[in-house]
Amino acid sequence: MTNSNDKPREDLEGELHRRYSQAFEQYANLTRAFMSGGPGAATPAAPPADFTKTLSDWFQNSLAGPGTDVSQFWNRFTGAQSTAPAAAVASPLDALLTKQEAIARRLFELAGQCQRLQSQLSAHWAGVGQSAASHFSAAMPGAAAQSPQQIYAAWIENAEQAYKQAAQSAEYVQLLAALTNAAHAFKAEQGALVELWAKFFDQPTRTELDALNTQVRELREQVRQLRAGLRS
Amino acid sequence: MSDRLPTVVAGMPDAAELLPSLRASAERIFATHQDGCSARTAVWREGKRVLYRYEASHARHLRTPLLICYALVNRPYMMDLQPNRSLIRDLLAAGIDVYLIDWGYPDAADRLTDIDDYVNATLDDCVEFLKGECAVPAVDLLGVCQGGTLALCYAALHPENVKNLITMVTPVDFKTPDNVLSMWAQGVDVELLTRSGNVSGEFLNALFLSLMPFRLTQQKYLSLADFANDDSALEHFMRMEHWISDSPDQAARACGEFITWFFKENRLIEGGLRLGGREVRLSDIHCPILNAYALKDHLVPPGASRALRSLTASTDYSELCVDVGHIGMYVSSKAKREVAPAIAQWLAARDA
Repeated sequence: MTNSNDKPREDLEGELHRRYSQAFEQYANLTRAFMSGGPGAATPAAPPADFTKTLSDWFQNSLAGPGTDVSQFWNRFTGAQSTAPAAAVASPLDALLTKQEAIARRLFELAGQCQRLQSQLSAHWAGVGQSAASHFSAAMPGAAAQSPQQIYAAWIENAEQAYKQAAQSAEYVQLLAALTNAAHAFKAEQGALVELWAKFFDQPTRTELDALNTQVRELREQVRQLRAGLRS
Repeated sequence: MSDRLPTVVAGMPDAAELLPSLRASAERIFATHQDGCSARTAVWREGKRVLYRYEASHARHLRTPLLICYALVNRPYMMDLQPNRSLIRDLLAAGIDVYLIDWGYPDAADRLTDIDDYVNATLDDCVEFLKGECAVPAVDLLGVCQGGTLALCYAALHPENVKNLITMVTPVDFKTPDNVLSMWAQGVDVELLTRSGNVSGEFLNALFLSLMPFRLTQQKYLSLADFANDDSALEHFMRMEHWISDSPDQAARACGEFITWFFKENRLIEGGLRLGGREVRLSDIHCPILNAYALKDHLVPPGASRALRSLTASTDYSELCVDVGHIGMYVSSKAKREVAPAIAQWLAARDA
């Protein structure tokens, strides 16, 4: 559960500090890479190699943030860890083994699928970064005459345009949907595994809680109707 | 870090230099309460959902109370972020009696909550409460973003309860060609999503940021360098950041329904939306409507909001177009000058 009152203020200042550091370093790296062939030396035909590499990395990390492991980024949302199924399979409780193995296999398949899709997404952004490098160099032949801040602002503008175009492409939309669906499938299978264990240990299961929840909702609706009847 | 940086960034504070200012601002922010800056009283509550009444700062001139229906995907204190950036304060100052629904933070117990619950139960309960409390036959309803979509559904299903309707940055047509979020939503397997539980606020937040990742996760933070010696600007920046990261999880069923009915099937336009067993038809809305949208909105493109103009039966329909972005609609200085006064004037003219 997210709750602002539970968050120590250190989270906020720490996060901002981290963000600023990353943005600051990225800004410096971009500037340094762009200038690596000498100010204004970049040409449309041959952007500096460092610049191309830096931009490709920039695009690959656009969602997760610089220096963030993209696969960890996705795992955070699913609560999924690739080691979880292995640990579950190691259970000595034979009664659960058959069902559990089937779920575990499915989890492994989904983990593999997630990793493949993450790689494809990275490759997608690497390609966008490479073509953007040429585009940026071509767009700013007079870079030497501009301030670093102006150049940076132009990169941001160009990067957003390149990103938006790529993000609307059929390839990206399909990849993103496939990854999202795989992540949700993974999470759902994990839930099924937990359900088995909860039942085995006589703990409330999700199904039982949902049934109770439905009863409460029905009762609440009856109260609302009674209240409405009293009002009228 | 400085020795590793090229000379072009000389003059900008490095992260270590900035830290004391960040710390001081955070201390100030957390020393005060975090769910808005204005005094308010909880007047109705059911579970996690609370209806607040804001304390009047000026005499109340308008007879009809204004109920704010905020989006489910963010926290509503954006409407009352800080004293000089508070739409609610500006409305109070104009003599309006302001109420706001806080949907709370859904957890696993709320995974079956659906849109019908939000519209026909909570929103309707709040309206009925206000009708009794204020002795009025109908309320003024202000829906914000996704809350505007819910407000439209409510006004269509319960037209007798809504005297005047204001929609702010509200998506109506979810399939305009510039709606990137909608493109991304088309391939989502909603059955899987719903089965896998509530949708995390952190994920949604990342999704929204990924609409403009270079501006929103990098360039924006470099601007901190400009605020290092400006306490007021830094504090505002940090309040915004706190709000952005404070995204509630979304009830699985309601989220799945919203994606299917609105993003995928565009039912407000195409028809076929049913809540509580009744069809939602925007043509059933006859009350005066003020549709406010932001010209530079990257989340809800202007066309998505403007679509409303031809869909209702209202003979008193107005638009307020403000040259700001989505969030700027609540907290920008331009919005402060234009939005609250326009709403107050519009409501006052229709309060008889």
